Amino acid sequence: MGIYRIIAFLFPRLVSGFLSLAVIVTVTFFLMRLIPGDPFQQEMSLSQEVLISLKKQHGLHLSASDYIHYLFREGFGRSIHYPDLTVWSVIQERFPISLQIGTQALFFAICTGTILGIFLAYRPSLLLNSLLLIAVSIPSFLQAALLQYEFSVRLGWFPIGLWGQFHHTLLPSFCLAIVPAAFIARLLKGNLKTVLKQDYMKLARAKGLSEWTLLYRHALPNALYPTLAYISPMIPALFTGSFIIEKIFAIPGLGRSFLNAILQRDYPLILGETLFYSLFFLAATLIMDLIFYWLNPEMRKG
Amino acid sequence: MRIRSKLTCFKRLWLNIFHGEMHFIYLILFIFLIGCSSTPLPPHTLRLSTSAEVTTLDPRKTPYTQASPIYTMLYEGLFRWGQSGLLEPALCEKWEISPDGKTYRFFLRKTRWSDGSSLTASDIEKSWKWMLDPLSEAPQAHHLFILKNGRLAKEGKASLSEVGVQAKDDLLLEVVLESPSPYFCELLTYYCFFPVKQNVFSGPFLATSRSPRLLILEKNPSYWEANRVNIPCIEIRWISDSLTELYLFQKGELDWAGAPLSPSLPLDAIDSLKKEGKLCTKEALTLYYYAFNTKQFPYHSAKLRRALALAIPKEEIAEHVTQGGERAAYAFFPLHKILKSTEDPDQLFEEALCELRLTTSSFPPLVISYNSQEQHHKIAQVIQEIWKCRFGIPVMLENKGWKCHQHDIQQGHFTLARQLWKGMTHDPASFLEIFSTPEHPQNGGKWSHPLFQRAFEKRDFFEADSILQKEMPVIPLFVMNYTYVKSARLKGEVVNDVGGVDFRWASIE
Repeated sequence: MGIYRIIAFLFPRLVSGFLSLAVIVTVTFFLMRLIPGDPFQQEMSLSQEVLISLKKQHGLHLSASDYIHYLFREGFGRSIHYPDLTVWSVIQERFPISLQIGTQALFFAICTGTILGIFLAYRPSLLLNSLLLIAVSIPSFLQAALLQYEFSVRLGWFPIGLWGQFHHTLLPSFCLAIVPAAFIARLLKGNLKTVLKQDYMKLARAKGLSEWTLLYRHALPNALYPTLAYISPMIPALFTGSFIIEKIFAIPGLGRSFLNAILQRDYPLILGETLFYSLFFLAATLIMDLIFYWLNPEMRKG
Repeated sequence: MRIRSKLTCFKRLWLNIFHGEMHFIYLILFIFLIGCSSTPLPPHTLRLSTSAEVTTLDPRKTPYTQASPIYTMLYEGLFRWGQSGLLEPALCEKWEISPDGKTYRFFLRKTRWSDGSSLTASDIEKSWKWMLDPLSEAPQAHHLFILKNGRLAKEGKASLSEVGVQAKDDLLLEVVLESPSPYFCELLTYYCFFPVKQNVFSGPFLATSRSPRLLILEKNPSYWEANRVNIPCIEIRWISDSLTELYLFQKGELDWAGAPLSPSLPLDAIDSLKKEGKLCTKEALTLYYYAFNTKQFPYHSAKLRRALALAIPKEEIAEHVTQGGERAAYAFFPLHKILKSTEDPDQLFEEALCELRLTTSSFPPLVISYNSQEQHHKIAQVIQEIWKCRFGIPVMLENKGWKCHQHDIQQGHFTLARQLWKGMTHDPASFLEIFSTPEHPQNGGKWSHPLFQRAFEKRDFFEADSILQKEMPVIPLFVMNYTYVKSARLKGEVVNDVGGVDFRWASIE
């Protein structure tokens, strides 16, 4: 039963995942070459001879299809922006930092979002509801800048930025987690309120179960499922979309490096990081699918 | 009774839910307390930040000039800018120039690399020839075209052995130039002329650790003047947000904020820093200007260009917008002293309109394009208002990313573009050569003029600059300043108008 059904579940998703990856790489490649500007012209303009020699060095004198072959042959090889590093080593050095911020933000968002959602479902509070609405509406970079000013500069409770010890990770993760936490809280509140009104809850209360057991055995699973389904694309986005936070807090993560690669037109690095992010995104979506498969018996039937 | 039971129900629920969560709250408080701990101040460490990441430790491979102070810390060149701001020999002890001005003989000092091996003239020869190799990745190789056969070698039309640099001896380097250049020694202070060997350093500091987070430099004990270097350790971080950099400086976590390691301080902070007396400025040999596309109607008319240029109140803009104490520029080379013209811009404008057979309503829209930065936007806005009010012509602003802006300038898709030019030496030719040929990459408007050409060839640069001011193919706006703040712990650093900042003679408490 188990293994064949799981393969039947996974196989179409893996195939569509690889097809998506191929489309993503092709579209990124063409978009990248369409943007005006080349990787080499910086503040001082270069002479033609130097430009030609640099282009030859990096295979940019080749036509589009030849260039794709060149990149795959080289394994995305050397980055243009970092002459001494390969694309993979750039990702390797920087991804763990983004991963740490993303994981901490995810943990914080889920914990706070769940608690607030449950609390608000039982006790409506105008103040908290308004705060959540504000948290969802104000863009994250504005919130980050304001919080940095308030807590780091004026009050001095947290470091202003940089990276090194654990306390450097707190405020950035918090800023990254605010919007997802508010989303989770509002969704969970709505879903939980609906669930608590259901007939089977009345029956469970009549059976004499305590509110707490009622909550974690009946209400939460039914309320969490649609909430999780809604926020599952947000979870990988936490790991890949942190470049604003990284810029404001001066954190050397992958997001900032990706943004910089685009601004500097570092083609191998852009393609390599896009591929990396896409793989990560697809893997995360697959894992979420597997979790739903496990959680919901209805899905197992087909 | 039902209401009371509901209330007790809520109270029980409250206790039930939050009893388990108290542990979570304690955890949050604990994390909070950890977060309040501050880093101890490291003794005698200079903490700096650059806005452009140091992408490589090899100065020959980088196209960026922002991180140039880092390379002057790691490597030494034949010449350097001294503490008094004057040129002084560094790797070379003395030098001879042949009567025709094309052959230079440099007699080197006995110096060592950081691994103990001696630095010989052949190291310099190899470094320079590497840059001119057609197969090597050297974005700044065009600076070496000043050497004989340099350009041909890069194109592959000459072999590297024909290039005009040769190590005659371990300590004697002979250099032959394409044509005489009186400022060649100043050019040798530029980092692409430094001898470079992998993983060893010849400068006052060496790099001990490099990660995306931090670059650590330590005093190089093999440096020939190690006794004058007083800073044991430098930490360099990459902070691209100028506001974050300033916050960190104000909190005491950085010892320097602003130029030349970053483009500038946040504009809004400059005024308050000036009032507190903390702002330091130093004039740089850098010109901020707007370039006309002289191939586009109606900007082929010099009278129109001059009228538009004369209407700009440069001093007021410098005082109220950029606020860094910048000097208004009336010449293209910042060190030339040309007086502001006394012509009346309104009259000039009327005459130009008559000649072009235009009216203010039929005037084509003037588009000022610039790359996205706060300062450029503010200056462009002010100039737009002035021209709209004074002349009644339609002026629009176009804000682009840096690469798009540069691309458009080179393709000629612009009307009036903001540009910047930094001098590497005090040679006026390094600025005026832009207009010596329409094919120069910086000469987006492809302007040329026979009188200018003649004056340039005669090397009468003041005359050439005066012609430039009469024809006005570009509007020189300001001579830029380095604006920065530094901590009181740091003493003895040297800020140079051409070379940036040098910390080798500085000390820190």
